[in-house]
Amino acid sequence: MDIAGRREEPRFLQKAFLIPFYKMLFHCEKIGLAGIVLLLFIFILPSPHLVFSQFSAHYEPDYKEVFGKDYEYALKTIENGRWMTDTLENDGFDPNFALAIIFPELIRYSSLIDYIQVKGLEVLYVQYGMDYADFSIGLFQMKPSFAKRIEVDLLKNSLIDKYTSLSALKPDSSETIEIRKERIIRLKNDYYQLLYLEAFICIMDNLHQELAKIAPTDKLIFYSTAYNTGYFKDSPVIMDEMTRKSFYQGLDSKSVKYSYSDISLWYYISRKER
Amino acid sequence: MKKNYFLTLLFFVVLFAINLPAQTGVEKKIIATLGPGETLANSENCFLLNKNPEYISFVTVAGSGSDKQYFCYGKDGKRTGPVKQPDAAYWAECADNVVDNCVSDDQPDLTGMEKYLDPNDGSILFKGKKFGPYGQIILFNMSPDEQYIYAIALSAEMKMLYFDNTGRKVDITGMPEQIIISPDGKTSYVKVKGSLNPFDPEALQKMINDPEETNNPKVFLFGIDGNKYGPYPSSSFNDTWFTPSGQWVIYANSEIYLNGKLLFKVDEYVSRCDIWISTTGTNYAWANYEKIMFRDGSSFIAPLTIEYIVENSKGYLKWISLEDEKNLVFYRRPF
Repeated sequence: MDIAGRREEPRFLQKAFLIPFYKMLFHCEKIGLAGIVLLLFIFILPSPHLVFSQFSAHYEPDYKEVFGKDYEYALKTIENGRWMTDTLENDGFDPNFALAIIFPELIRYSSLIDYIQVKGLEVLYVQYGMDYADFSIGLFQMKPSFAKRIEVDLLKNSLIDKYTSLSALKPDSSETIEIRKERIIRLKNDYYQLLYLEAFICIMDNLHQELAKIAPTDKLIFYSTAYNTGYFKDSPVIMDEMTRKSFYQGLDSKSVKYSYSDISLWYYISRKER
Repeated sequence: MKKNYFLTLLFFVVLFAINLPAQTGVEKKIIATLGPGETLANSENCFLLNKNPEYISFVTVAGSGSDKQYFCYGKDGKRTGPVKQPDAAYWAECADNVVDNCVSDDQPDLTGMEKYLDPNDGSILFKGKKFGPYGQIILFNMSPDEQYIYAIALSAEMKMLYFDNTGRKVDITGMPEQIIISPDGKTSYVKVKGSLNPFDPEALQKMINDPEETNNPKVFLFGIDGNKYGPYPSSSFNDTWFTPSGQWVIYANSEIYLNGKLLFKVDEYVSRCDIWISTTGTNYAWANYEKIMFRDGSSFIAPLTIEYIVENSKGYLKWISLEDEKNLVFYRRPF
């Protein structure tokens, strides 16, 4: 498969084209009838996700080439971690979709692991809490603040039945060293990271039910951006982030940056076209 | 009178506080006191404790979002800032330094080792010599200096042989999982699960006859020198490894064994990455997220970074901790 060879418009232009549609869609939720009319309008006309899908397989850069060994590491991690796809399938998720959300994080993990002393940050978090150290950890580069928010939102959105173990730390009560220690131990465990990812998708599905019927590629762009930028943010903010190029390898923030969701989409399409 | 009691008590407390570090030979130095709201940056730091003198330079962050600002602490101890973007020079010394994010279950890199193996007769061709044929090679590993090779072969009679390129051979049973080689490559152990040979034609019947062995296979360790250790229940076997100085450690049943002898016990799970044993084997320390504890019972706030180094034939453990949420403290202790 060579999706890199088929070049058309730069990817970010297509997303920029879509954003106004999505923004209208989200704003209309709040204005009742007008929203419904606009929704109908959008779905009667050639829908944005259809427009989007036409371009889905035509873009560059070739992320495989750009990220080199870090890309290979990310691919191998998924290929060798058959248990991840099995677990996601058993739990009713599309593994390609779910793993596409975190695929850029695997690249990032590979590029950082040799350069960040994680242990010290773990110690700071356990001893002094989130205000002192809130850092990305593990394969999916999840922060303790993200984990805690997932735990809280599972309770808040009555989604806890499926993930009782995730909220066992009583996230709505005051934190102790023991609770923070347990959260770090979980985040260092690949299985728990996968559970947090599943829970993230469930919460997103619940928060954004209006996206249930759009094309998976479009939904993925929104979900992966939300994962990267903060899913608790308002939809227009997440959509503004969709075009932003903020992802880079390693520690040098001055290096070339790419769109997080674009990398997710690249992986997703490459899996689908296999 | 009351005042006298208080003064006497105070005197003893101060005396104890002064003497404790003196007894253990601990050197303690406050490197910096962070300002209000300052926290250590995640990656813009450089703590080179293995250097003599140590190189310590780091960046702190205060505020968030657009209000975020940085303070930079140089190796001379001088603090500059606030700045909107920290100067990379503060951590440049560490730019090419690979940090040791110790991974407990690291697998050996066997890339390119096929050239040493002859799949036809299960022999090893190494340094111009042929070892075998012993059957089918099912597991192998090579020392870091590529001077020693260890392998396990399955013979035509379905027996397993653990051998190396110096002519040592040991019969083993069970399912071999990992060959662990000492840093100098001269010795190794194989971790085996269960006591039944899974390749034995009668293995299935034996498993049916012994469901406990099938469901809960115990862990055994076979040395290339012929020593055998175990059985350890799988649930309580944690890890086995060689220290950088070549001492062999087994961590099972909450007990740490050094070269086969009990060294100490821990009351909670500790990663092997958080256990330090001196080159002489006479001293040890272990840490969790809260404290680092020593053989003599002394303990300190858990380190953010730690190094075991040998200077002028003497071992030292050097570490940095953050105390009282603001004091970055450097420790150096004979070890």
